[in-house]
Amino acid sequence: MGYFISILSNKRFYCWLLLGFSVLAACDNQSALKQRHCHPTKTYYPKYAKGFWIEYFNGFKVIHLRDAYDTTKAIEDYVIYPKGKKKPADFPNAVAVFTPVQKNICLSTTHVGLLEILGITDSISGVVDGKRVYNKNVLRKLASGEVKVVGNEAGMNNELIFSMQPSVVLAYSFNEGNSSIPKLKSLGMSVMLINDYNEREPLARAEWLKVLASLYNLDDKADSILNDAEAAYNSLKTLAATAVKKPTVFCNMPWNDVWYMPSGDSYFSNFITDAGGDFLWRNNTSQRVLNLDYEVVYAKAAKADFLLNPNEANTLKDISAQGKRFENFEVFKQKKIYNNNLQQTATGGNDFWESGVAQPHLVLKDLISIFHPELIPNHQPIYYKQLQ
Amino acid sequence: MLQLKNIQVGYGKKTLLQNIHANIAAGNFVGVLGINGIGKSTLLKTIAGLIHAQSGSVMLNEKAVQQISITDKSALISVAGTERAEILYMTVREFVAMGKMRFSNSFNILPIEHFNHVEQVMQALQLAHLASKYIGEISDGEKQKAVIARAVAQDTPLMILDEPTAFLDFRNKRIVFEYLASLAKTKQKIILASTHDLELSFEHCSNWWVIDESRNFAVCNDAQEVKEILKY
Amino acid sequence: MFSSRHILLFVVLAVLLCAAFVAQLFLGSVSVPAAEVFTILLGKGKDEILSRIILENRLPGAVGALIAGSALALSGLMMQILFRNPVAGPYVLGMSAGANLGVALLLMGSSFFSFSGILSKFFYSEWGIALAAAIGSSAVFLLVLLVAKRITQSVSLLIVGLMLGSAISAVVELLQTFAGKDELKQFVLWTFASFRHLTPQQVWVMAICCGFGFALSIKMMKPLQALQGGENFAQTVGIDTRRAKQTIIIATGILAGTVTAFCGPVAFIGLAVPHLCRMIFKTANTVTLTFACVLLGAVVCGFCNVAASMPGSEYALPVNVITSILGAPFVVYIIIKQPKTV
Repeated sequence: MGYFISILSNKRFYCWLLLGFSVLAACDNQSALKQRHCHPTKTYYPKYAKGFWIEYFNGFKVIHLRDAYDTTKAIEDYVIYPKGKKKPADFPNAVAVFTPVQKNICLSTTHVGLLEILGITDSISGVVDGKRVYNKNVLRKLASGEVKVVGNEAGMNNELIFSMQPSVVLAYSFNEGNSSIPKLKSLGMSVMLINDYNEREPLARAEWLKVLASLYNLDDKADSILNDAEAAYNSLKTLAATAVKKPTVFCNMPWNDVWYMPSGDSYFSNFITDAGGDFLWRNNTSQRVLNLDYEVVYAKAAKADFLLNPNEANTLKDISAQGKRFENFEVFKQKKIYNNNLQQTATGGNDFWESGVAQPHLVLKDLISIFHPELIPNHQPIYYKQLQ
Repeated sequence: MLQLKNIQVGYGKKTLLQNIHANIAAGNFVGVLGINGIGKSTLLKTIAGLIHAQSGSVMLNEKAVQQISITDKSALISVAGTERAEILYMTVREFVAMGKMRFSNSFNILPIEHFNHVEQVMQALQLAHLASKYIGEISDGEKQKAVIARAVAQDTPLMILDEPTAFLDFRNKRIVFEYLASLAKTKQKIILASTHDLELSFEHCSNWWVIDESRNFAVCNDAQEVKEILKY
Repeated sequence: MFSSRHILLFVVLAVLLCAAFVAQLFLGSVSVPAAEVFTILLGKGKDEILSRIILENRLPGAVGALIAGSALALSGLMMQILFRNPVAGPYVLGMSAGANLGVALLLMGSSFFSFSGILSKFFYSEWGIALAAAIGSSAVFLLVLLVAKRITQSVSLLIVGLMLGSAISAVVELLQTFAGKDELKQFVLWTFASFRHLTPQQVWVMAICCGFGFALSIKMMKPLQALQGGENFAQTVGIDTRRAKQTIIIATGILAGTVTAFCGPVAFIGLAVPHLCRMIFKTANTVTLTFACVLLGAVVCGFCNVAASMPGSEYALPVNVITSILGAPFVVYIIIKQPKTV
């Protein structure tokens, strides 16, 4: 007892204690990065996407997720390595995803679209809300029972998901349904966030192909797809820029008095601008989605040239059924209303949100042919249809 | 003329009083006496037609009370219970005037003669100085007088009052009893009032209905009889 | 009959009513210069877009808001007197829950059934929502009327209404659980209420239905005066309370139901305005209170509509946000300040 007291009253003891603490503090993740044992053979920084970057090591890969709106904020890391091997020591906090990835569950249909481009929709074993799937392969398997519906708007069926033992669950948000995701994680499942929807540039969303491709060792295939897409997209963008007059464009339809308009910094705003259009709220980036009063939209867009994405409308009658006042818009009188539901199943599956995400150049082509038909004559629209 | 023909009163399956017979002519001020809980209120409510007699019938001017419509009844019977007059922002005048509801039009406006009658009644009960005050702001005794005034203003041949003097001081009790007695005589009304103020009722009532502790009902025409039954 | 103070107050209210109406026309998210508004109202507007904003967007909404305010305040007054309960409002018999159910089934019930073809086109339109809400609240209201015939105690009727409302809300929650994001948002926005989407035709229908409701309420002014003393009391002074109750419930159903059908369930106006009237007029005369509620309800609702449109900013708030922010503290204040009400 006396021995301990003499230690505690010894000044030197506290110096050693302080030193010891600072050494420990220095050993957090930040400095761990510098003191790593392994160095990446390759690092992939996406050209457009802000929400992820990938490090390739010998024998494993690490996907780093960060906030697309604030890239200083890291979200989560995933380390992809073969099952049975030891987890790389440098990434103790990363979520492990074991290869080969045999079965996965998609909690969003955009994941289906990305996987389709890579040609690996067969690896999908579960989806949420089967009615909203467009992909023919997955639909067929849903009908036969090979692919299961693991949840709906009300929430996810954790037991079912667990019993399916997928290699990875692809999520689009940690806050969906009743936040089953922490529960799934606690059951030992690998849940990977795919934050493509937080990207505002069309090519950025497509780049999330790389994330999915890295799970299946299809990184090269993804590279080539993306390079083609980028080249096509940029050449179309240059083409659109040659147009002299930019038509004015606005989007969506109101609920009651509130008109939700995409922000000036958004997926659609960028598409419109790249296609040589003038999005009327291009300069308003105050909110992620603008809550505008009907009056304001009418005042600004009554004489606009085009209206895109009027929610679920299929015909002009659908538009006027929601209110006679919409017939006062110039776009209604000139029939210049276009919706991205040309490829849609009867139950609401929309290919724009599946293959469209992975092929932004095709969407751009549609839009350019709408805004500047003379630049791309004889174009068969793929995703957009004109409302009649 | 009020006739009680072999009525039995009570609630649901419970019977409080039975075999009640009485005939009261106009011009009588009847004191209804008995200990608490014996059934006086139930009897009065039955006569007023607020609850059904379990058997027998109450006849007013040869008509069965139970079969008189609500509007007609309000012209024949007025009731003043121990209700609490607590209506926010209602003046005493407005409250008393509610007794005249059958005369007012859809806009609550009374013809002038009825308006004047209301003023008269308030005077008689010494409420005139409170006429414009809110009924929630006067004393309990004054509230009770207002309730009586309201019943008087209704100006019906039969008036039924349940313990009308319970909260009044002695001076006001006297005023009320004197007034009711003169009202019965001059306007030829039948006034039934249950009370525990035996001395005042002996002084002013013309007859009495007495219910003893064994629930026997008796009609008495002089005070001596009453004192004997109640062992007073 | 009316004291000079009351007459003065009515004049002030009438002026405020005009002010509320005018404010709704001159103020909105888009800044339109006053002179321009004048010329448009006189029919000489040059700019087609601004004309449409004032005449087709703001004007119907302004009239609708005034009608709604009057209707709700009046039905709130009647419910408070009938049930002798200071926190009763037009929705206390479960009618807004019924309207919610109707609209919820329409907007979110597609997982359970979907209307086909022509019917669907009609129902997913502006009239469809109003109709769904009207059917829903009528169904509840008929149920309540039926129950009212059997239950004589008003307190019991109140409880039945509240329980019915709760049960229906549970079904609505069920529908919400299974709804897609867009449908859910649409439904939720409906429950937040608004006026500026009303078309002139809708406002006409509102005016006619509410006019009928007003007429019934005027007939009920006298019975309500007596009902303030309780049902037994009212009977003894000659009011046929059974008939009166039925008529009051019908009038409330028409007034509150019409407003809810076209504008959504507007919160607090029906609850707070009657109390405000009592506080200002300091009377229990139901004739005075009726007309006061009609005027003050319109004034309050009109100004709430202006506030909701957040003049000067591009954004707009739903009406219930404004009415709740103002209404809730006010109701608390009433309850604290006046323990003995009605």
